[in-house]
Amino acid sequence: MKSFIIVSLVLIMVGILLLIGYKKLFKVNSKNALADKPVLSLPDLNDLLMWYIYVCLIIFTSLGIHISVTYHDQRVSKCVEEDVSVRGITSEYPLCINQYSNVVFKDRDEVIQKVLLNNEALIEQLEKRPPIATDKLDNLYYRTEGYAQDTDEYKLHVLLTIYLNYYEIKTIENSIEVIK
Amino acid sequence: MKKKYSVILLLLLLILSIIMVNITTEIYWSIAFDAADGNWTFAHYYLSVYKQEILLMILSISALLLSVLIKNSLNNVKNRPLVIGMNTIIKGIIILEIMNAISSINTLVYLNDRRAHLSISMFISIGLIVVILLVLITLVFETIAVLKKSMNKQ
Repeated sequence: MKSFIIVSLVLIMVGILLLIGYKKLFKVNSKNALADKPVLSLPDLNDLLMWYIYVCLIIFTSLGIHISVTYHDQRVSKCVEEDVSVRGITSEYPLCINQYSNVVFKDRDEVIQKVLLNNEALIEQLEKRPPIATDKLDNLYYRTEGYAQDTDEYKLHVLLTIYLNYYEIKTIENSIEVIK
Repeated sequence: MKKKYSVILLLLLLILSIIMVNITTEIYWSIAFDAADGNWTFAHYYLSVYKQEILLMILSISALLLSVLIKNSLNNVKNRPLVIGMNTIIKGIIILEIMNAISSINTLVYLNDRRAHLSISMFISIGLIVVILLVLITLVFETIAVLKKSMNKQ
């Protein structure tokens, strides 16, 4: 709410400044026209006003999107149970259980970079095949499906499943064996 | 230089519209089909595309400003209805984008269900294609008008 008020005040100020600037330019144009001098091709005031209203609408919508994304991040990243481990996954990747009973990474962005770095050779090999999905991580997730439990592909698939749990706000039937 | 001003603006608008079509194809078709095939949750889809949606809205606003500037710098006055038409379609596209974003926010916060999402992306894509066609027609007429003016001067 606070950010909405601040943005509204800034937009009102910018709007007033634009109007003052337009009026001054219009006066200069009128003087030049009366003196038979070349004039600037100014847009109509009603068009400019409509454009500014659309700018304001888009700024408010973008702010709303940003707030909703932050809200999603907060509710999914909130850990209910710490110090959780999953069979086959080392403590290098810190995990926890969120309020929707799903296993998630504590620091998602940092951990996924580590996962990509530690499995570089395997990922390179998997990426040689034609892609199934547009996104790199989604493609790897589908490519590592159906492997036996002791394989590197399976371990990578489990890590990617945990990574994708971030998008779940319902309790999902997890195939991952959790050790508390 | 002043004569060519409208042609340059029309070319800019054409480039901008093509970039916008490219973005809409990516977010409403390419990634959307991935989401449908993979049975993603809405959060998975939306968090993958929201930055591009904001970029699309910013580009639409720039396109609207360009169309407003073009309206008052035309060499051939007969092109004015075409420019007013593209201006109106761009406004419609922006309204659809805002509706889409509000629907997305609601789905992300309360439902997280892909099926509940209001799909108006098809209209945005069609609108953009119409804008490109109008820009191309206006560009041809404007170029002819500019050429005629320069030939008359010579």
